[in-house]
Amino acid sequence: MNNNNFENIRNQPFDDKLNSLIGKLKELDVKNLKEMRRWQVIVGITTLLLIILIIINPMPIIIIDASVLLFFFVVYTLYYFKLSRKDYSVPIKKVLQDTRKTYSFLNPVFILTAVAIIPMLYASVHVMLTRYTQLEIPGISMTELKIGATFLLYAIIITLAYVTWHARFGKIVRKIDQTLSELGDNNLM
Amino acid sequence: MEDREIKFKELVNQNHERIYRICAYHTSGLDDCNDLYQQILINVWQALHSFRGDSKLSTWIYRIALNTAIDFNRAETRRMISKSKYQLDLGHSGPWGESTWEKIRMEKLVDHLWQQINQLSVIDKVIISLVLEEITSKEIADVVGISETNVRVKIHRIKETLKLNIGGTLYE
Repeated sequence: MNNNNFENIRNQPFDDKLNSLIGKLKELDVKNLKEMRRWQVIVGITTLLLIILIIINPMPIIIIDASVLLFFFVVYTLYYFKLSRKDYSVPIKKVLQDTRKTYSFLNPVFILTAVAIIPMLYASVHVMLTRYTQLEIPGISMTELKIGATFLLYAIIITLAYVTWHARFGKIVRKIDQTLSELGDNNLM
Repeated sequence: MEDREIKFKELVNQNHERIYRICAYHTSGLDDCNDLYQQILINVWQALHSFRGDSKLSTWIYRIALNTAIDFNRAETRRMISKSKYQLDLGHSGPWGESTWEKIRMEKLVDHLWQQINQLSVIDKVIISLVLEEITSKEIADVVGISETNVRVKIHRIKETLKLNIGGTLYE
């Protein structure tokens, strides 16, 4: 929202002020609608590109990665679109609980992604090790190597995700937890 | 004129002072107060279609206003400070004695009360702002989403805390 749009309204008589405000709110509605359309176009184009990648099949690794990415891109988009439409007219406790869910590290979509990313990583490691490198370590079988590399990559990704989340949302979540416990909510995640 | 527009005008006309007071309780200065007021009106406009009359209109308004205020303060990490313009206005326009000495004394006490209110937690501040608006415990319970008994207990505790910190003079 551009606050400057509302600056002049403050000094007008109340009725004029209200009419001007309604005008600005309608403009804001149009702007939000346009933004939503723009976002829908971006999602559409990205989905189309990923489908094309899957169809033209340039490399096996890309097919796997693109299909998994496509699936989660759509799920994440729908999830965050749903969350972004916050309802302020419900009780404060409910809004806090919903906000807590939004900022939670272990939200359902993250858990789903964290599980589904394992086969994607394994497939990527498999292709990298068998097709593009001839890496051999004495005493370690190829299967063990693939599992080890997958596990290492997975650990790095989850750690990075956690550190990023903690830096960005950790403090907010602690504050919300504190407020919710004050309200007698004992079902904190 | 659209139905939504008529409803919005009616609603703002009837409640603008109430909303503005809530903004004043939860912000530190006039600019923040106006920004929050604006944000609340935007949220009221956007939520207007969801009002089906299940709760009282005032409850609905308070929910939107206070949820927006909590979000606003979280986002901006704003803290209320004691000497905002609004608070000084409140001191001058209150039902205090006529003498200058009395005015200054009351301003100091009001200032002190605000400082103490600012020390309260988010929820306690929400509850005390509704108490100051003379809202019933039942309605506060509907706004916050907890039981009426819980609200009464909280109000009692907040009053005790304020009484203890202020020393009883202003509270009485």
